[in-house]
Amino acid sequence: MDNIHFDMIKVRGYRGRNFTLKMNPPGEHTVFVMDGNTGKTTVIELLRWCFGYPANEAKGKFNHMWIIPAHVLDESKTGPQICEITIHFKATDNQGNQHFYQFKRVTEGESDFNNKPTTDRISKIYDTLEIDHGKRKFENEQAYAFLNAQFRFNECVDYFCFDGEKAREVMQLSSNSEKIADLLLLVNQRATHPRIEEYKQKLNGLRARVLQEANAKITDHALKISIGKLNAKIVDLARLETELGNISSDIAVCSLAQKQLREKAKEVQDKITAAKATALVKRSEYEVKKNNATTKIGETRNSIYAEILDWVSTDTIPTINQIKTVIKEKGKLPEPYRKDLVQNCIRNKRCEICGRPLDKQSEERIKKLERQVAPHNVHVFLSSDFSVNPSTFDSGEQYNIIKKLINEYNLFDNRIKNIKLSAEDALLISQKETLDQQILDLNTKISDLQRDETDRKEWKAQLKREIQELEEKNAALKENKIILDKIKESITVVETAGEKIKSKTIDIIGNVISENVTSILGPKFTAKISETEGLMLGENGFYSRERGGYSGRLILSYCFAEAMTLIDPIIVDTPSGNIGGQREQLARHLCANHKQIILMCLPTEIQNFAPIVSPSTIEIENQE
Amino acid sequence: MCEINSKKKKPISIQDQIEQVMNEEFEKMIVESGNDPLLKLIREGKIDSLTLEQIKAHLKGETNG
Repeated sequence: MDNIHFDMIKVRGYRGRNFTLKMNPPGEHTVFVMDGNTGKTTVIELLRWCFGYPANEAKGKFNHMWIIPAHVLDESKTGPQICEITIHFKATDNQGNQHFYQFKRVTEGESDFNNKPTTDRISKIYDTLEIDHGKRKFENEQAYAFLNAQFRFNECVDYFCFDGEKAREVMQLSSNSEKIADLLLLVNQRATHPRIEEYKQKLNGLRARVLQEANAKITDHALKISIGKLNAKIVDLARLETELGNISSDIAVCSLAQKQLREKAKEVQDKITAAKATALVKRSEYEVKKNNATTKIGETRNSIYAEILDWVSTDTIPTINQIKTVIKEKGKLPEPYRKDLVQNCIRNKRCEICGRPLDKQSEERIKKLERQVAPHNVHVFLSSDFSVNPSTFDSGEQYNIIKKLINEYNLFDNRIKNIKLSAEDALLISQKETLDQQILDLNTKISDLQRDETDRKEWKAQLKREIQELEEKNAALKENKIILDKIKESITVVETAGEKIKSKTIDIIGNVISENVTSILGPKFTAKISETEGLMLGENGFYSRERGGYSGRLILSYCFAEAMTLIDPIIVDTPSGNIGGQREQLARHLCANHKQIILMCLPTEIQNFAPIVSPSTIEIENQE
Repeated sequence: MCEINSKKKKPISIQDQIEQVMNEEFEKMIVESGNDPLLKLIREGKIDSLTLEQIKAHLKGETNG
């Protein structure tokens, strides 16, 4: 497929936003002017999501900036809702016929704040790909498979949809010596060798002619059947080889993705560990303070108990004196003692107070009462004021101290609880869980692919043996055996050359990147990729990983992305954000090397840049 | 504009540039790999127009030669 041209990207219901990007017709580039928070990054991320994952694997795979995974549904909306992404593009097939494609991803679900790791509770993700206005239609995994077979979108969506995040990733890859292997794997992954297939097709075509001719000449039914079998096995072999190539490519892509995910997971784990370490330091600090408060509370209480007699007595002196007065005046030991009352009771044998007759027992008790006279010292005690030595102990102050200590204790206790429930930590842990799950998913996928690869390799060897046997046994093929034998030799030569050229891929792509760097930064600047030092920028023939400053390395990332993509259109978010003085050269370079450029610029990027790409810009605003 | 573009004197995409250089390198390798007679016929665009007898003769000639 060639001449790919994106016509429209329509977004409905993404986090409550609706917007449509309509591109200019083929032959023209398009510049959208989109202010902050109008969907520039979103467009790039949604395209990566739609083209990077089939519908059945897309749940939980949408990433937004540094949030992994991120939500697509509107968090402010309750109840069922839909997010719809529609992409229109056209392309020309090998026969020169133009076809129209409509890809649509519909995400159904509802937003739920209790759902983890994102607030999206997705019930269904549904993809459709309509070709030529409904003449052909693919759904879900078939749509994904078709797009990948025809356009290889999944392999290069990260690069033809380019943004600052990807630029930063490339810069990191190229400046980190430990990641050179990843970089080279990416470069090798990008390599395509259409000539190999062309040669193989021609050789297989020749073999088919040999079989066809033999088939036309023979009358023996058994030989005809044998030729038919041979033909079928040759077709199977060609199909198997294509499948093996795809599987091998998928294994490499998955392995790289898994390696990158593992690195991300390690970064997140390090953050969690650091956060835990910080939390632990804070926690132990608060625990020490909490324990100090507990100890001080204990000490203060002990001091209160130690001096309790003094401060309790001090507080109760007036009460004690009041009790003494009551006892002296109104208590059971009245003064003066009422001797006449007791004697009247005994004489009259009746209680003078209540009038009841006295029995023997009551009379005895009253006689004792007559003799019960309070001792002198009791009288002295009751008559005197009770007093103790004055105490300096301030129980009120102690109370305030304890109250303050309890407040401190509660404060540190709450802080310890808050450390446990930090939202940032929870997010990191959730991210780690998601990454771990993605790594596991990829592991399963890689294992499945490897199993498929082994099965197919065995099948391929078996087919080759069977083809060899059928060719040798079939008498009708004997006259052209020299051709058949030579075809096998030639296929081996082509395959060997295919293997050898892999070692040259790095140099070839490195040269293309270098030429593009020169076209933007000027003749002083070049670039190279080496197996030992990775991707480097050179100035006056001196290469290093830091040369060129930020803008120079950003240009290098641009050129790398351009070399890594497998389709021509390039869609860029904030294209000249940190480019500085090279804006004009970048714009001219893009125009010279792409049939379709789609730029999503900030209003500040227009000067010296946008008009070179497209004379008229299109302003985009979100519709709620 | 980059060197390859200048050579072609018309803008071509970076993907085409890469494919073009890769194909050139591949062709060189095929040639260097020992003048395979069938691959030579493919390179010269003759394989589809020759009959099987002519191809056989060509192969025998290459073998004898």
